[in-house]
Amino acid sequence: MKRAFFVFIVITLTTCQTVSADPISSLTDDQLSQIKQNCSRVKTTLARIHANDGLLRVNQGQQYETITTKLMAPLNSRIALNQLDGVDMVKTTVDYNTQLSKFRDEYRLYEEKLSNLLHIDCSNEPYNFYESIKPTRKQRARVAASVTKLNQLIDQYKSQLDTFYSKTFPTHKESPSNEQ
Amino acid sequence: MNNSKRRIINIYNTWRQNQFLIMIVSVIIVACTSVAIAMDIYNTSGAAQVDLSRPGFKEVRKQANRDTTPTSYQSDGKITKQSLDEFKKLYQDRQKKITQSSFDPSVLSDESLQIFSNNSDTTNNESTE
Repeated sequence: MKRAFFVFIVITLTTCQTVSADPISSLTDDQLSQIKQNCSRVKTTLARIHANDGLLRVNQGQQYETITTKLMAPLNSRIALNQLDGVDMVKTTVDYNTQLSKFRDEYRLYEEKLSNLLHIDCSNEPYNFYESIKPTRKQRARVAASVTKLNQLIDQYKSQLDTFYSKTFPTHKESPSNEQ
Repeated sequence: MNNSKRRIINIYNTWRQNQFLIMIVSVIIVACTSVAIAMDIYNTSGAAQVDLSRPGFKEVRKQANRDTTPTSYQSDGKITKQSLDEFKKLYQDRQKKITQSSFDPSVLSDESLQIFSNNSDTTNNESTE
């Protein structure tokens, strides 16, 4: 009796495991048919998102590049040439450049995932299509996180600049120490 | 010994007779290899992602901003109040051009994409008609 119960438990667990491992089981037949029905509309939306993201990447990327190459780096260099303390700002610039490079990589991966998603025929492969949306969504979240971090570093640099400004030009003293 | 020598001579003669064909095939192989390497660099370097001349970007191509404003800050010179004020202005101008909340992941949610919506494509088409 005990053995029969044990065998029953083992069989039940194995079956449950098999069912959970079966990829098709995560979507019902009704959901699969809904994906097929909405296929062309979803694809049009995704294509529009793809195009808008490409534009956003170009325009935002241009601004991010300009901030580091044409603004942060020259100011850091100028501060160093004037033998003033701008270590915090240099550190932020290094972090910013690292983050910018991360943003480029994360976006590249996201774009690849989205392009692959657009190539899947959702009317014939609804399950594969749906499963490919998840990693694309995750990757988009990573891009968003790196953008947030970049924006934080831009704000951080600005507040460090304000501190530098108030240190170098205190309100009661008009000229800086090295300006003679 | 003679046989192998004759064979080498035969091969050489065949090569000489088909020199032009061999050149064409070699050129094609070199071109294909170069293109494959170039395409790989294009895709892996991230250049492809900022290339709006690709198909599918026709609609948005014109909206790409051309950066014409001179924003470069002088890397030499004294640090004065005016120079820092000038920097602050340039920096703030750039900061304003950045969209704060971009690449929102909820755009790809099931609800946003309306994947499981009951209004099928055919229903939508009918309603638009």
